[in-house]
Amino acid sequence: MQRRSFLQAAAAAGLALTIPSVVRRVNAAEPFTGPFWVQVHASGGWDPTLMFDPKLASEHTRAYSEVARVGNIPFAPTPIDLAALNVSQDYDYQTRLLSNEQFLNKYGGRLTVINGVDTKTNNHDSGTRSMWSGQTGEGYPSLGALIAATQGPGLPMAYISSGGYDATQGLVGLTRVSSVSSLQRIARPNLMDPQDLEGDKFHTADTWQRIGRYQRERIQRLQEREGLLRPRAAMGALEMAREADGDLSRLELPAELVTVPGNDLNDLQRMMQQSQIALHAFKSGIGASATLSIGGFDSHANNDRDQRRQLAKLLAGIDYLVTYAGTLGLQDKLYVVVASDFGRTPYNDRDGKDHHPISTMFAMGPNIPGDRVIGATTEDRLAFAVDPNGLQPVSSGGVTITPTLIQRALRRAAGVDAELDAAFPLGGAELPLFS
Amino acid sequence: MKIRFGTSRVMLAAAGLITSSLLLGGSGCSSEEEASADADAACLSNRAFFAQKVWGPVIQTTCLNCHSPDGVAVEEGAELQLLPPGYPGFLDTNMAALAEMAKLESDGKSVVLRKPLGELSHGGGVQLSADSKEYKALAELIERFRTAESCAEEPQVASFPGVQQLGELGTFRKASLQLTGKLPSAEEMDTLREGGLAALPGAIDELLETPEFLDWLKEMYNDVFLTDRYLAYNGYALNILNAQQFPYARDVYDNYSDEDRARISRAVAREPLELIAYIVKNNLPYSEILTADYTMMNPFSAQVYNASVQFDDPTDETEFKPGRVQVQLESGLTPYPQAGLITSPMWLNRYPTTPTNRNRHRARMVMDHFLATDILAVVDRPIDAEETAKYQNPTRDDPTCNGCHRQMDPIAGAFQKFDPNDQERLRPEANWHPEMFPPGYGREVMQTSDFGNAPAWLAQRLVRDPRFVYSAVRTVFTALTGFKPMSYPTDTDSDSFAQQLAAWEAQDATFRSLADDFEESGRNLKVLIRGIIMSPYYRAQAAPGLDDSQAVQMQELGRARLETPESLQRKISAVVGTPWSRSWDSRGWLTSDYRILYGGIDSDTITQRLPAPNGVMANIVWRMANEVACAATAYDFSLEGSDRALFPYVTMDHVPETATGDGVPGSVQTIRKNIQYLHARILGEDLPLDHEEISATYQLFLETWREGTGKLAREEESNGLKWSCRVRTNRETGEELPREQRIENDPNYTVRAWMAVITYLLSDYRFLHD
Repeated sequence: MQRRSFLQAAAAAGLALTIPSVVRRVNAAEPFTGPFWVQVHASGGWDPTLMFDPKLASEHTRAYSEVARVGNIPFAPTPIDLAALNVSQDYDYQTRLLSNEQFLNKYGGRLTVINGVDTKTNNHDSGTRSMWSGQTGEGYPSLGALIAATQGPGLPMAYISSGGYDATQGLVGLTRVSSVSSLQRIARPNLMDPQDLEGDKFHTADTWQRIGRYQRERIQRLQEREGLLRPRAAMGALEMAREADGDLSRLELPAELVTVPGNDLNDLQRMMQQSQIALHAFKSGIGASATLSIGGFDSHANNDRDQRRQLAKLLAGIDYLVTYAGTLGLQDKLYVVVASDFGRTPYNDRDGKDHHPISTMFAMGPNIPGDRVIGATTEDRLAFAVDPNGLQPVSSGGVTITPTLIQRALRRAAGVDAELDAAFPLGGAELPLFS
Repeated sequence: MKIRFGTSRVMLAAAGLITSSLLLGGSGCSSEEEASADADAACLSNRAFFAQKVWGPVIQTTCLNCHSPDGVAVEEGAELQLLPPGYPGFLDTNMAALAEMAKLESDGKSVVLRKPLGELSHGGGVQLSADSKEYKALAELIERFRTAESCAEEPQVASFPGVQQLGELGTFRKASLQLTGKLPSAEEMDTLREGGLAALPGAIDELLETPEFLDWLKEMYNDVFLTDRYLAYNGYALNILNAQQFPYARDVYDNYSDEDRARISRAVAREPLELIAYIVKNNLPYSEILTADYTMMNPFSAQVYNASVQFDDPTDETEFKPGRVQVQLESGLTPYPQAGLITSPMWLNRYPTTPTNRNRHRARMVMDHFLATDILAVVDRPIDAEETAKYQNPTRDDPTCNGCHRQMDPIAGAFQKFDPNDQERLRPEANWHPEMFPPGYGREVMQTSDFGNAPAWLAQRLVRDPRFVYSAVRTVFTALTGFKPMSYPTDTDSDSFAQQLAAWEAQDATFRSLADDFEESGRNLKVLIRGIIMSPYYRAQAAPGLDDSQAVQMQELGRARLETPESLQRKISAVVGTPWSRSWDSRGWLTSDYRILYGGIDSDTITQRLPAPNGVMANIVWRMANEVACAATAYDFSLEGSDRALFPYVTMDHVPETATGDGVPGSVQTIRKNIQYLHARILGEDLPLDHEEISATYQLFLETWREGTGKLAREEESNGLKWSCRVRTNRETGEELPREQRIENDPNYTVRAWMAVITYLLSDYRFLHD
């Protein structure tokens, strides 16, 4: 089968995008220098009234009695109280967690908050898919995958995931990292001792290059002989994975990852460690986007205790991510987008809150306006529509902000490749949410 | 008990015939022809006619939106309820529903033909015009229901003319490596050569009797149930058991030695997978994974369950036997509910509930694990926040919620006697929540007298549901081929809809045939495994010269399963004879340090395997190929010829050229013959000596050898092999070899040239995929 015919046939079978020639190639020899995108998922469905969409009605809050503000951003004034959060007071957790106020004082000037996001679902899977792909149903890649496929599908760690919605639809290889030492050992596979750059090699440099060349020629021959779509797509995926495998040697990692004492903040520790790995991959020029996740938000009981604890961890984790990026010199190249499955209802009879489709999200990055709140909700936590031009809430007419529209806007902001954008189209109005 | 797959025994034409008719130049279904009862349609079974002419173009497009379980029509009491394609067996169920509805007539005409015209107060008004091709197709279907089926055929495993399939040797090699981690023995190969394809089923059956197969079975079912999470640390499985009801578990956890705690905890953690292994090994009905009134225990774990079991060898950790679990209540030792996997303490903990979740998560997992039904995917529609806020009890009263909860909550009720805070803890006094849908299954409500035995009550109904068998087929198919079954194509406007439908029909027919065979065997899982291995979905290996249309029709075929870390680890040992393992504890690199990096799972937070490689995985492969080539090449040369895994035909003295650059004919042929052998052994390729791949590999050997000998001559390289590539000890005994048996030098540069070849082959697509 001719290559063009193969592409047409594979596209019909939903396989075309798994082969490297369909996605834009980048020069694998050149380190990718950004911008870098991190999507952070608060898994389980957070409570916007305990964040940046505070409500004073008693069915919505018992944790505060007034709405506070930092700049234009309203927030629930809930300071860190370790006892109320049910975490150990034996460690320095007070300084490791972050309240809304602390977070906004530090980042409010860089933050766009969108309230009144109508996810139109109270289903965890659908909500998560929808928030990160723009579509409730299956079959669409995550924003991180689209960005990685646009910026560097040949990068060895183009898209790094530690949870959340990370579907790739074959656009780009997905990397999961669990250990620094294991990564270091494989970065230079022809070195017998990966730590000894001048040490013995398995093959001479010429032989090593020759094996690689023979492998590339071999897989080309196999592809030409193969008529079936699935093996050809798999061969393409291997070819793509090998495009820049040598670049992994550029990866510089810390000798040890950060730790947090005790056990109560293990999930925060994991988020911090995954942030380190992702940022070092970015710094080394071998990664373009990452997905982070922290759970514990599905608070059908004890909503205020659990939500406040997990939100304090989430905000602390984001703070660590941005701060660590600064230490690596990436502060001006990093975009962070934060969202959850959906929002929460008024209190139920178990001091919990159930699933509610109206949610919140926020983002910051070099070209995203700060100190800005878009959208709003009624006192009953229903979404106001917004004027599609000025984005002010309107009581009639207007456009309801949905995950689809948010993802459309994020794709524009991230410069997602037009062909990829067209391959996974998102309908609706084009809103200037991040510009 | 015997259940036929699907609700109707009317089966479509063999998918192979459908496929081949399309392959031979199209379906003959032009739009003009479709408008009438065309010649093709006359030859279709009712089911095939429904699938091709009615479901997609008419029902799915026109009726499903309102007549789905959560649709407006159903909410308002419409009798016709249709299942969306996400439901296993939706086609048969929907056709049966339509056939039943078609019997109702008004003024001598079926209501199914009157309602779409807007007659009989159809809530949806006019949906079709009487002269449309869609209406005519519907009319023909109704007419077909009235008359005897003339084209009914049993479902058959699809055949794909033009697709080259692995023969008996290739299929057996693939199955043997996958299921047992071993290459076929010479005797097995001789038997197959003699018996041909007819001998293959018997040879596969032999594989299914090995202990290695049972290990693979447990590994693959852990991908589904993820209970190996409780192997994460020593004592995990014991630590999660309630100390009052399982007091021995607490005693072991607190007071036993590390070794004993590990042994006992391991047995408890693997109990669900051991149940599946026991059922399959003994050819018991697969249904027992849910209906078993026993739990698997070994001599070390029986006491955890307060069970009395006689073991043949009380020191044998591998001896698992069925026993009855009892728990310590205030009233004394009390029998624990036993319903196979769904009462396993490990399964209950792995899929936990909370006081507010009320076992809904478990109900969802029951449907996912045993009914192949993802309730979140098939009953999902936009939620109107304003509407939902109107209901005090939305899960029962809000139509946007109760479509899902009506199915899920009754199943959740089967777990009512387990503690919502301490997952496996039995609470006989617990009651169900009156504001929720009552415990039951489908439309059947569980009697309160059955509440004490609710899991077993549920299990009996689960295994009678046709989706249970379908679920088994899907699970085994996915494990063997590496790919989930194709979904029914829903985009009827797509240019390739006909080809995609043909692909789906072929797979669907294959599944129904496999399911029927599975049923007829008494639900012997080995029969299902063998059936899938014998099918083209496992054996298809190439299809040269396909056009676009054919390629789409065959999109589900081909050898493209990426080896898992575990299977690649086994494959390396099998073909090279040398494991890729850590020197200090002999654990395989791919099942320790690189398990997650190579796309594997930890059964805890990482539960989905990566289906395609990334840059990191590519580097792991390179390091593996280099380290194994280094460790195995010289070592293989140190063995006697008959013991060699890699180089039975050559010695270190076989060089391709003389000092003057002339070819050494005999030597070149010998080297090529060994390369031919390596392609077969490592890649499973059966190639003639003059094949371009043999020539390419020879060229790699030759160029590397020339480079090396040139550098030797210029003293840019030494004769000595790198330290870790030398052979100085007997790997079996660890003892130092006599000096004359050691291989420390490579004066002809052949060892290093062969190392390049081994690296090349071990990093090849065909080694990494199957």
